[in-house]
Amino acid sequence: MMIGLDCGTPELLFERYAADMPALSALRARSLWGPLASTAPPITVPAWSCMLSGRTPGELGVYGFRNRTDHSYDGLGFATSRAIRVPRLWDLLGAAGRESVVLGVPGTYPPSPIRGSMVSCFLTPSTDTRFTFPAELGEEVQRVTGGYMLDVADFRTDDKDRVAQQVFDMTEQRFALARHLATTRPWDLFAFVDMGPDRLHHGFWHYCDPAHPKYEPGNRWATLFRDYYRAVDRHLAGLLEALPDDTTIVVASDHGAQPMLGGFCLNEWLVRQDLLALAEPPAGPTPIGKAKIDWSRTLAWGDGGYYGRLFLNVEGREPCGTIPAREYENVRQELVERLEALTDHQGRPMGTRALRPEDLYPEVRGVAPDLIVYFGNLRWRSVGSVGLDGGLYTFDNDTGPDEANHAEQGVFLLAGDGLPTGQRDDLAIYDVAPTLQSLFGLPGQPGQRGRVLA
Amino acid sequence: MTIGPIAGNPVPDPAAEAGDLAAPGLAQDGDPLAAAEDVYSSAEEAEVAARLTALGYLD
Repeated sequence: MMIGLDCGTPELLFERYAADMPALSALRARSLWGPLASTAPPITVPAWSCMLSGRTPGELGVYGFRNRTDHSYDGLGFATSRAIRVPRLWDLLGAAGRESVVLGVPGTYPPSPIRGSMVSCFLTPSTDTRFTFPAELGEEVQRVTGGYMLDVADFRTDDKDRVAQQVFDMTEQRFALARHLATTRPWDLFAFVDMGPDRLHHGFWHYCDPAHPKYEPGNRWATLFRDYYRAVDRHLAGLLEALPDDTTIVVASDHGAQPMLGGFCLNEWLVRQDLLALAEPPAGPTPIGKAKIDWSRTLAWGDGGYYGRLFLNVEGREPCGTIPAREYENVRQELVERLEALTDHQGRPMGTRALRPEDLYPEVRGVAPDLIVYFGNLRWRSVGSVGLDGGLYTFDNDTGPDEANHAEQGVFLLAGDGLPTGQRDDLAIYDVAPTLQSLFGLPGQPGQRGRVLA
Repeated sequence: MTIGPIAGNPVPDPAAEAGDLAAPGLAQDGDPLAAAEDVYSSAEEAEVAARLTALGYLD
């Protein structure tokens, strides 16, 4: 049984709320456990697919939720289940005649035919579409849950009461459905992911973390994380209680979270560096994809999100490329140096990292960013929009309230009869698939990353 | 000097990429990186994009 807590953060689950989570702490006492180094970048898509395949984002050709489909300027596509061209654990088990139940694991929409059952992930547009395999399972899911919640709706709001309630409800529902499915059908692998922690962290981090610059002692949400993790622990205890005593348990997350200090306006910066030319000034805040760009005078542009994606406009590659092929590495190196020299709004070194995909991955497929940028080592988000009219730094997220960014360490616990126990500080997301394959008696896959931990 | 491994790589041929990595049951048709149009209607894609933007994943 793999219990996935999206954005599960070691500082919260292993430290701050350990006493509030007796079931998880008791499980940890009989586990091999520790922080889990995530993928680079530490983003939900592709991290869960990397965890369950033992492949890097480069090998999957998936660098985030939306990827360039070609070298045009507007070719973007969501990374759906069809983008994952390598077997994940349930595929290997199915080929070996073993049954799986897969519930809400990111990277599973549209649902695939597997040996067992699948309820697809939060990238499902709605439950009006086919969101389960087999299709008739959808009716059962709707009946059992009273209306299945794919995600928190309308997250972009200041109605914090509603968002908080939805997060609590979604988590309760997800665990209840897991318990139902786990007790009504056969399985060798049960893998489910709850998105609740991620949504809670993004919506409420500054209310609950005294280390966040915007934290105000005594605010009305100050105990929300504690209350939520107490609830998670109750749900976890209920699920564990329903399982046979000899069930091997994994608790894992795809990445952690940390305070977000602000946003850095990547494209505004490129404009000021004379690397990005706008054909006309935007009338107001404008996503880069909708801005009018003079490509004939542009050397680089970027996308926003929890990390920055920087693309170079290369002759012979992009339609109106401006960087001669022979200058590509020089330009990229110059950008690395400029980005890593950035200072924050108070002139202090920001600690930005600009990473080359081929340095991160043994193989780079699809259309990767030319640079993957962690502003402030992920303590700042990347703002892709232009026309913000407020300089390079922004502290009001115009895409919605959000005060947490991802962190590179998630969590991992593995508990089972005869398995090793104790804390480890060298665990990596790529170790999960080979370890679970080994426990199932399956061989490692050619080219798979990671180690067998137990 | 060449463009380098990233720039030098053409968009991969999906059929060649699937190759021996694909497992039984995995979808193998279509370009995986252009799958959004196959998977989502334009309204559905807009709905998912709006949700991800609100969450901060897209900007």
